[in-house]
Order: sequence, then structure tokens, then C-alpha cells
Amino acid sequence: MQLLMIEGDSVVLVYNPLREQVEVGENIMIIDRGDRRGILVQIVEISVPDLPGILLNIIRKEASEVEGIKHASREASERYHAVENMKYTRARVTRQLIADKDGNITFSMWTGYVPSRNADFRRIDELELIEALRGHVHVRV
Amino acid sequence: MSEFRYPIVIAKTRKGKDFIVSAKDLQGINTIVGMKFMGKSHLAKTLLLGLVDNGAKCVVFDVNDEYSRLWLNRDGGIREEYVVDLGYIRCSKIFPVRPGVNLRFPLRSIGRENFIDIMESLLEKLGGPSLATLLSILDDMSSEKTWTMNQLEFKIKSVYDKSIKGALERRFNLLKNTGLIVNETEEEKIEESFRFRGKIPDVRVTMKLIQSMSFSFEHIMSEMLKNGGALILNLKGLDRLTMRISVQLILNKLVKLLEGGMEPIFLFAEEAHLYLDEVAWIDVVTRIRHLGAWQFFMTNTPPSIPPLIIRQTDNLFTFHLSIPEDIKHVSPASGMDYNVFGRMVKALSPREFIAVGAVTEQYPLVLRTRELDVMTAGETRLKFRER
Repeated sequence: MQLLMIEGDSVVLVYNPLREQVEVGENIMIIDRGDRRGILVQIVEISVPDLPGILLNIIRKEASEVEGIKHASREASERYHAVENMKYTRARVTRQLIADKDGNITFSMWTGYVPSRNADFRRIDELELIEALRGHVHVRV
Repeated sequence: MSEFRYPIVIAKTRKGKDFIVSAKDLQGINTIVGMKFMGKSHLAKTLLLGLVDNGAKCVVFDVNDEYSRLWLNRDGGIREEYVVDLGYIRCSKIFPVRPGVNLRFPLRSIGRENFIDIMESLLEKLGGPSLATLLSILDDMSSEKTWTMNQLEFKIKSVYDKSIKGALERRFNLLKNTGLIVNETEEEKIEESFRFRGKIPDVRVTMKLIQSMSFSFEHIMSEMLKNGGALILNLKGLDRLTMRISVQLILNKLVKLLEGGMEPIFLFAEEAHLYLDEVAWIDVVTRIRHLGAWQFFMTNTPPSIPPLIIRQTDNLFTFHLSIPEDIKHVSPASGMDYNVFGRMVKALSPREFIAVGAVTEQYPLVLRTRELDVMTAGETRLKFRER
């Protein structure tokens, strides 16, 4: 999973569906490796990339009457398909987080902080999250 | 093990673990919305039984007769935890009543102002002379201490002015036909007859007998539900007038009981727009709430909920919605903007819902309804049972 874009409280993540699955409503902590701060985001939508190159190629494929002859090497073709099959997910920043030296995380209201792309991603299930928000347990990095 | 003193398992997480909330956090306005067959009523029943398990008293306005048999498990066996022993009788603390059949209101217990409200809600408002005549009749009855329907009928028939007499008679007859108002209810006779008969071992037999006896609301709340339970007001198939008057009478009684020191209760109102006009609804949410009547509103028509109630919602439970107007109407209660909320609710599958509010620390969580071993479905009569 990679951080692609942040716009206001909207975050776009890119991931390879062959390696991992994401569901709407899931919660992910994005923690900057540099300053031990981060954000908690919630997935609100899953989509496919709409890069011009990919879109044009899809249209070309559909428009041609016969199946094209592939001249690229198998490796290059696989790589192209991997790119084409990547998925985007749009998420909403819900909280800000900070990890202490022992790795315990504290959540607070989001004040506009964004992590760099040099970040770790950690999913957090509903129970762990709610218990942390209720102050019953500590989430650890 | 839960951290809460009053825990309720309301749902499962996507990983199948129990999601527990505190009953304390349900003391507010709770709204459950979603399209048909997505699990709204199932969640409402889970919440209701959770509150009853914690000793709360609840009143359910049940428009589809879905809650009457919650004291039975799916195989029809009795769930002993919902059986209460009152000494002379063993009955279910999920107590179904049918207004006008086994729930009636003694005329003397209604009060002058409430009675006039009801007479006016039957048709258009009473004109000045008719209202003055009715007030004078009620004052006479009060001083003569003759609070009976027969006496009221007699006095209305004795009114000299034809148009006033007609206006009062028309309303009186409508009210009489609902069967809601009686001279007296029969609690003492019922208790006597059960004591004479001896305790019936099978609760099913008792509950069947109870269907043909008339109780007052006060008696049910103070006796039948004294250790917690739910009064199920079965409104299915009632005409709109009877439905509205029954709800109005119950709300009036609740106010009196709460003002008199009754412990707080929980109201469950399904499709409330069918029996509450906006003024009455807002009264429930503002005035009655502060007396200690916490509320659950369930609907598949979200725009029927007044915007004020949406804004005041403390806990929102949203199942799948797809109509933009529905999503837009509800989104202010979610704490999310319309677009984000819309994307999330459209992606919910059946039995999944978003919970947000006091029970989730204001954080929107996607949860799934949990299995209940109770008889949950109402009895819808079908002509065709197979495809």
C-alpha cells in the first residue's frame, strides 16, 4: 500500500489487490517513519486507476476488431497488467495519532497534520480501535 | 469480558467478534434508518432485548406486530429469562397489548385537558360554543364524581343546541368505536381470577388468556413490568385514528408517570410518522425526553423524520441507503459530509450498518447484526408461499 495523494481530509491510497484486500469502512493508521506521528484514515470508496495511459489502452483494446499481437516480452506484459490491475482507495482522515517512545499510540482530533510518503501502514480492527478511543486499552505501533 | 456495568452486545465486527456498548450511552435519541429487509428491525430488537436484560422498562409502538413474540425462541420454546413471576401469575415481561382490546383507558384517568385534546384530534378543532359545552359537561361530571362513558353519552345527548349536540355526538361516537376508553379496567378482577385459578404453569396459556382481558397502562407499567420489560403496543391493522389516539394517550400517561417519579423508560417508535404529527413528535423529543423517555426511531423513509430530530440524534445506525434524498436527509446526524457518508452507506451489504454516536465515541464503525434466538418476524399473511 502506498500513499498517493492527500487533499484536505481526503487521502488516496494505491494498493495491489493480488497482495492485499481493502473494504469500505476499514481503518488504517498511516505512521510517518520519521517523526512517529501519523493519521488514522477510514476507507470510504474503492476504485480503479484512471491514469490517461491506462484509459487510452483500454479504449484501444476495445476498439480493435481483432485481438492485438503482443510484441512485448512476457515480463513487460505482466508488469503492464499489474499496473492496470492496481486499485485506488479513497479514505477520510478521522484522527491524528502520536506514538510515544514505547510505541503506545494516542489518538486526538485531526488538526491538519499529514505524514510524508515514507510511512508505515497498519490496519486496526473495529474492536481494538473503539477500545482505544474509549480509553480502555492502548494501541501499539 | 466487558468494561461496562450495563453491557449490550449490539452487533458483530467484520471479524465476527462481539461489539459491546453501554446501555448508558443509549439514553438519548437513537435513529435507525435503512432500506427494507436490510436489518433495521433486527437491530432494534437486539437493542430492546439488551435494555430489558439490563432491567430497563421499554414501550414499543409496533406497527407490523414484529415484537409480540420476542419471549419465545425460534422453535417456539419459552425463553425463561423473559418470564416474570408476580406471585399470582407467571407471564412474559415482553408484554404485548392491543389498544382497544386488552389495553383500555378508564375515562377518569385521562384528565380534562387530555380528553379535550383527544376529542379535537378526532375531527377538526371544536368550535367555541361546542368546546364550552364540553368543558361544562366535564366539570359537571367531575363535581358529581360520575366519570363514566355512559354518563358522558347521556350528558351529550341532553345538550339542547342541535349543532353543538351533533358536533359532540359525532366525536363521542368515533371515540367510543375505537374501544379505547372504558369506565373501568379489570385488573382487580383479573388478579382475583388468577388467584382463584392458581398459577398456570404454561406461560403460553397465561399469555393467551391475557389477550382477552383489559389492562390499564399504569397497571402494566407498575405491576407487569416492575422489574423491567417491554410493553409492546401492537398497532398492526389499526385504523389511523385509533393508532394516533392510542399513542397520544400513552404519551400523556407517560408524562404523568415520569413526572410522578417513575424511573426513566425507553420508547421504540417504528415508522412514527404514521401516528405522530410533527408537533407531537417534536414534543416527544424535546419535553418528554427531558422527563426521562429515551427514544429509538426506526424507518425506511428517512425524510419522514423531522430535521430537528436528525440534528438532535445521539446515535445513528444506518443500513444500506441508495436514494440521494434519503442520504442527504440523514447525513447531518453522521458527523460526515454528504458525499463521504453517501459513498459509505451505498457500499453496505444487507445486515451491515454504520454506527456513529455516543456508543462509538463519535467514530463511524461498520458492523454486522448478530443472530438472535427469538421469534422475530411478524405474521404477514401470504397468498403465495413459494415462487
